[in-house]
Amino acid sequence: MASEAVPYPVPVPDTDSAPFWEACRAHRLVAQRCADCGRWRWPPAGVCPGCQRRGAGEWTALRGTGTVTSYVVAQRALHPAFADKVPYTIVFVAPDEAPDHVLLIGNLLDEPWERVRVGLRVQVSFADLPGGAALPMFRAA
Amino acid sequence: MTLSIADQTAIVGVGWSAFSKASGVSVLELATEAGLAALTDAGLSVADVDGVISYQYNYPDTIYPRDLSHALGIEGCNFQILDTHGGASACSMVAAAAMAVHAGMCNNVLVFRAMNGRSARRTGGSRQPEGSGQWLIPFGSAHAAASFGPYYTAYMDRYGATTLDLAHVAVTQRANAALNTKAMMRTPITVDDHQNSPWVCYPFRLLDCCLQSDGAVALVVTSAERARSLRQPPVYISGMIGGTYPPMPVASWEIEARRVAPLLYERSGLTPADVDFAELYDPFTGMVMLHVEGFGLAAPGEAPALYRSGGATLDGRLPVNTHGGLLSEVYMNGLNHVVEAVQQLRPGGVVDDLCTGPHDYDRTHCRQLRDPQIGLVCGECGASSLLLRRA
Repeated sequence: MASEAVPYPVPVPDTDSAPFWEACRAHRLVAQRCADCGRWRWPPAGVCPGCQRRGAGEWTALRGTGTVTSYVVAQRALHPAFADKVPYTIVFVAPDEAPDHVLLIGNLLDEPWERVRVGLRVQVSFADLPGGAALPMFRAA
Repeated sequence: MTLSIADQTAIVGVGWSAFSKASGVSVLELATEAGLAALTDAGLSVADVDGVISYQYNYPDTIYPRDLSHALGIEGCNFQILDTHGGASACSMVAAAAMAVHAGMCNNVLVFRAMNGRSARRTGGSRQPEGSGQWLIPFGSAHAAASFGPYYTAYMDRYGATTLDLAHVAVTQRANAALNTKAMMRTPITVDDHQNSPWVCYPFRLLDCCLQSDGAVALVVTSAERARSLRQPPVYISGMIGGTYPPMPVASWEIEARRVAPLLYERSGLTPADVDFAELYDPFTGMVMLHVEGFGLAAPGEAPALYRSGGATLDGRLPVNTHGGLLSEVYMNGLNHVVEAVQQLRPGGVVDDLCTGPHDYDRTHCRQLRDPQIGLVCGECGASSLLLRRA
């Protein structure tokens, strides 16, 4: 008996985050940077927490390289759409350009979970979803 | 600089419903039962209550203060709050009650937490990939173990701790729950039981995870002056501080306790050395150790050694989660921790262990600590905390 497929939880952009997800569709990783003080901002917002300048700032390309600062490994599906992915690793990645102010979350692809560690160097790798959205995932660099 | 409110308010009544996986009654009924029990304990009547405060986590799993006010027949409620920060609200809602009393807005404030968190709206995070969920849910991070887990993964990397270290937290708290007649999980466990329990989300196994529960707890806050003429010896609120944390994790994986603990101590005129025991928020075993260190009760990296040496047991140098906590007593979102601290600080001690006569500290039946004077209680990540003092 085939079980009914659970729809993948596709991210729902909001006014602040829409440019980020739009860039992901084109496989570009971006984050906001203040046009005045240069501070990186995460998650997306309409004001700079460094100098309080209003506005979206500059959506700036990230190279997609970074370091795993921590991780967890789901050993059972924490969401029903992930039933066929167990075990899967969720990594928290500090991008090289903005390690103090941006922390990206993604799945680590094609790496046995026992080999994941804090300090692992990773490279972004986009995963396309049905409907055109894309998620920033990571692979060991 | 000491808080002007230090020792000016007190917790004078505590109460609870039965804790279970399926209460069979409404959340309102549970809240009513716990609220009345707390008032009876205090020697107060419904007519004395003029403030009602509760909290939930993000989504409605409970009733509004107005619901309880109406159900109990409280006719003059001057102040109400329904906060939404879950475990972070546990101590800040007690602090809010104390502030309302100290300001003169209220005389006696009822604080409660009630839910059918197992049989109805099961406790856990949102599964909607919107709002902050847009950064988590699409990656399968749809469980609190995935939200708290990375704090302990980072801790292991920093100090060389292991997932075996977590076993000692689970075993210690279960041993305490075995001496707590209202606790949901009272069968003792071993380190092997912990190690053999299935993984949920590395670094956490099943026995690292808190319970989901139906039930309610409540307490009454009043002025120190009024407290002295009530039924129970007061437990004074000596220190309090709130806090916050960012909507997204930050790369340092430091918890809010690190920032607020010095303020908590300084503004109450106390130090970590004054703390006789601690009831620390424990959604997962690993967070307990982070809280121990965050509040300066063990040096950085030393919490595993504290647990391995038995230092966190009822007769250790720093008893922690003497009721069994969220792991083994009940998931009442941390307000049960305040209730336990109050019980431990009363001269008569806890009323719900297995002692049939005076407390004799025999750990086959007695959960009472030996003459504690100061207890620390904290909510999630240390984003709220209290220092409580014996009268």
